[in-house]
Amino acid sequence: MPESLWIHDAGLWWLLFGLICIAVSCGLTGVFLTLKGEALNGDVMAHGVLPGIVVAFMVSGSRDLIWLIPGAALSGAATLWAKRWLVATAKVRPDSAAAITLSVFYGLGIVLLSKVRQSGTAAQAGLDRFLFGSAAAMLTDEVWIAVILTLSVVILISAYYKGLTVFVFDPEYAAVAGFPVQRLSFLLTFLTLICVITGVQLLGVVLVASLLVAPAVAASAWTHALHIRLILASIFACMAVLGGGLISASGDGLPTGPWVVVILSFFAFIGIGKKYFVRKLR
Amino acid sequence: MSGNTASIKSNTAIALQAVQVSYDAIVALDSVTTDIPLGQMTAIIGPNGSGKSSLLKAILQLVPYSGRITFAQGITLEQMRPRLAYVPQRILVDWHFPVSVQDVVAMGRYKPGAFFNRLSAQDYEAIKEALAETGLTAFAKRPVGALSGGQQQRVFIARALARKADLFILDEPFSGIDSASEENIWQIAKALTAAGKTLVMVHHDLQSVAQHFDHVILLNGYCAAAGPVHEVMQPEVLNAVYYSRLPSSPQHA
Amino acid sequence: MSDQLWILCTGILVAIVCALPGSLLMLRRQALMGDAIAHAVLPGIFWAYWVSGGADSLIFLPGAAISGWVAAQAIAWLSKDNRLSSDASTGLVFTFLFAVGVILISAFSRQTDLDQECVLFGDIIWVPLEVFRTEQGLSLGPQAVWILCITLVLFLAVIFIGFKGWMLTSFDPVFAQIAGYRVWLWSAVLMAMTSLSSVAAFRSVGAVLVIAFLAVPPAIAALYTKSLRRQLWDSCFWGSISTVSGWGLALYWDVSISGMMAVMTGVWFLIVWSFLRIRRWYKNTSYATSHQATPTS
Repeated sequence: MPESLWIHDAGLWWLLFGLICIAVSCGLTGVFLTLKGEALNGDVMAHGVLPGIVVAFMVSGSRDLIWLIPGAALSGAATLWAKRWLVATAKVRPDSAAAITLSVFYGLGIVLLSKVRQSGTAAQAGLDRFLFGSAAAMLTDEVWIAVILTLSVVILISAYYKGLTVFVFDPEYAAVAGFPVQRLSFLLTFLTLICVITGVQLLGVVLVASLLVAPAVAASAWTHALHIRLILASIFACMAVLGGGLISASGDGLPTGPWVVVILSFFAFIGIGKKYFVRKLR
Repeated sequence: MSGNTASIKSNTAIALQAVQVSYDAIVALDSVTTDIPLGQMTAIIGPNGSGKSSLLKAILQLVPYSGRITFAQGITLEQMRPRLAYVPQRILVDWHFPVSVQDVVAMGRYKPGAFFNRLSAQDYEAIKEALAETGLTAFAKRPVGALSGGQQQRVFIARALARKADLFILDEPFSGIDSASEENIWQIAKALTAAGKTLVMVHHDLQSVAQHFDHVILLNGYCAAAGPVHEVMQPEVLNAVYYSRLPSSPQHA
Repeated sequence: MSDQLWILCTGILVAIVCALPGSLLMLRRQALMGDAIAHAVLPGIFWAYWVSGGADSLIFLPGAAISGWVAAQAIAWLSKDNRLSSDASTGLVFTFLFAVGVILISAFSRQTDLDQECVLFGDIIWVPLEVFRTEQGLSLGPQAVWILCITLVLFLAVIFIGFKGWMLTSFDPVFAQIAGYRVWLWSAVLMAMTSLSSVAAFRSVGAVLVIAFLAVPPAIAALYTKSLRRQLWDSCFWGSISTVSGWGLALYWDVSISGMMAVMTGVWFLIVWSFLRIRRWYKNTSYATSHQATPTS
């Protein structure tokens, strides 16, 4: 059972700010990702970061994020690259390729994790939190990292806003109109990777896809305007993350991830329900 | 529903009354009332988005619609199924599926309710004939993924032929195929109508309509014109729908 | 029969039980539905353990498959009637159900003898110890093996009897529907089979690694098969090879057995793909050298 390490040096407000940052970056990126129909790329990368995290731990001997993040990033990127390779070269159907890479990489992560576990509970707790997530386990430094990464996400999205919008809605038109579609595609992947890396601490590897999908789904029920959707998605994500974080911190050893997901899903279901009834009543 | 049998002409294969197809709030096809004649080759034409595939899907009950669609002698689709053969667009199928040409043609002889679905000698006879008519006998054991576009289309035609049906419904069978396959398919179509079968085809190439078809339905989100080919294939009629000069391709960009 | 042999037997059965629906899912381009169902069975599994008061009886496991099946229907309904993109509806449903499952399991782990460990890794190690016993106390073999065997026989019957129907509804569902097949029913049966295999395999390999067995062995067979029959048989073969080699290597290196089995599915994929590539290259070069003229395309 993953230990809920109580809050260390981080003041409560600082920790909450970190959580908000993670929620905002995932909410924003998730809107673009779901519009593009590539939400499950996030899931593929999420399962894929596990081996990278464990290897980074084994190499550095430390559970500090500053070491784990490069490992996670490389591993997540490798997973997506593997998926693309399967489709392009091995002629595997795209959905199959996604399922193959996520399960095999995840399996590799589990194998490495089982090797690490033999060395004792301290190491275990440090890495287990990536399986199911733990809000309370964030340290001050880690909040800094989350803040910086979120700032990058916000800056990148603002800078490429028009291009991203056009690219996501109609990539063919975007190419014809002269937008740098290669770069935009890479950008979206890069943003997803950042969100996955920050999100896995909170929700764990299996569930982080929810933070990318659910806020966007919830927001889409209330508005068709993209910029409002972005704001709404961020708000829903924040509420869920804070709610889930509080619930998990209040109980003994309750993992954060599932609670955040339950709240997020509620928002999404409410949105779906609203759209459904509006249609039926028309 | 046999209530209105008397009002359905005896030379009608499919009777459409006030047929409307909508997707949510968008009306794809508005109130089509027309008869598709028996024993003739009918083309369904129109610009992109004019509702051609919606009409086909409504006839085959692949989408919900309002209005009435009845088949010859006032029978329903359910009763018509054994006598109906459908040739879909090639694009919708995954050609890497591990089946041979013969496997696909044999699918035309399957019976939905049967366990095991053993094929009889009669079934195998029909399959053999269908392969011969489409010139695919030599390809029978080949995996479908190894075929060209034209050959794949002929596999679908063979599957439809194997059913020994009376009514054939085809969705753009000539898009993207080689001229030899095209020739083969026109020959088969002519032979079928000569034998009294009914063919209904969504077709995209206006040039070949006058040459091959007997009856035309021109759609533009509604039924713009319907009748014998020489009545409908007139410049005024077509221009009103396609907005540009013939004979160069009149389709919208 | 020795414990290790029972473990191997279980692994092979899991591989076959997953390869069969996995092949069909792959051909219908629904591999991610398999992914979703494998996650979504978790609440159902919790229910099965809760109702049976522990690991005494795994009889309720088939009932657990219902939550997986419900998930599949929910995803289908959301993507169709509500025009949610299929990836969004999948991501939404499976994460929700998996989260619910984890919450229930961690809250009631004392009562159900289940914990998050088991969820993730499975405990194939314990399989030989949970046996059915007659009144005389005679062991009839591990429960997991019994359940897997029954599931396997059921799957073989369904696939064998409906073989032509599976071929048609998977290859061209629209044609099938027009010909009078109830395509939705065939699809529902496949989802039920996938749920059952996820549940049956859960005990051995845990919730997430089931996906490897649903997705990878069928993909290996698809690299070279030309018939549906071969596809089904060979995916069972590759799944079995992966479990056996994974089990062996896991014991040798002292790592997670289920993880290693999943990794081996990937390894065998690469091995087969490389072999086929090399063979093709070899054929091309020997053709080129033996025919001096340019080959016709």
